[in-house]
Amino acid sequence: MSKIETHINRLFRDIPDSKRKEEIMLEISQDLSDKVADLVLQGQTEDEAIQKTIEDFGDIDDIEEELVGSAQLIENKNIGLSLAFSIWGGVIITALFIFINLYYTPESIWFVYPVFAVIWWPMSMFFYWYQRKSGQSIAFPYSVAAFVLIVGLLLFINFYYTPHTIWFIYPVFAVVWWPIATYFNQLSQRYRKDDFLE
Amino acid sequence: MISSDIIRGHLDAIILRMIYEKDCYGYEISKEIASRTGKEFQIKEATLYAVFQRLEKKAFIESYLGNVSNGGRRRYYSITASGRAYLEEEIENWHKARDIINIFMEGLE
Repeated sequence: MSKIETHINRLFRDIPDSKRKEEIMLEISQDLSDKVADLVLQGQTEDEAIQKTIEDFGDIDDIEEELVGSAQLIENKNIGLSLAFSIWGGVIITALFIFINLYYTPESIWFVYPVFAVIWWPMSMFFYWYQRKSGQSIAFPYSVAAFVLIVGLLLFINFYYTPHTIWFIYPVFAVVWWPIATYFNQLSQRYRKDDFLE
Repeated sequence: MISSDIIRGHLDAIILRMIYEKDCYGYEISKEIASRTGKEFQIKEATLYAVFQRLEKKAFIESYLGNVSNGGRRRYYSITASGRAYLEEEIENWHKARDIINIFMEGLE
């Protein structure tokens, strides 16, 4: 390995491996070798030429930022695939439970419980995907979606088994603190940011 | 050798212009920039390759491997149609900004 390649390897040491990174390292060592050859032609010694080339190269941070950007693009695509998979998986499992329930035990409805559990999978994937795509915090919208889901389950249990006694508002009272808390947390963070900007 | 924010803000356009003239590889561009400016401006290679990444991601340029030359293959860059459109837009923006700045920067002793 030439001195130039050694130097480039050291510069790129902390950047995660990717095909892109390898291509760039190859390209840079090719170009820098050209530069060293040119400087030697102009009368410098090989060591001087290498020294100057390495000094001229500059800071790796610029390239790192762009490389990490490319890597993130690929990662977001993978998250999109996981989201699609979770939606399809959720739909198929839901359909299966509804079928089993209605076919074997049509007199009692219980598919709501496994479906309630399964739905968190695509829902969480969706919010994760959205957060990565938009860069915004999803704490509040996620808590609202979860609140709706839990309240839906409580309503079902209440009115399916004990339609003459209304008790669901008590657990709802407990759960409602979740979206309220994330809402005010979001507000206070926005104010803090505004203060900072002023 | 000057290192000004004004130049730094137009590096994408400067490098697009070089690729617009003809397909070239990294070292060729940095050599050409140094020689055209009489070494008043020299681009750091790290910056140059970061700009390549950015322009390629925006699909303003494309790269391909050239023929084998002394011991390796060079990566060449060529400009795309949207790269040309972007360059034209940047040149127009520059003319407008230059005219405005000139109003305040010229005419004093």
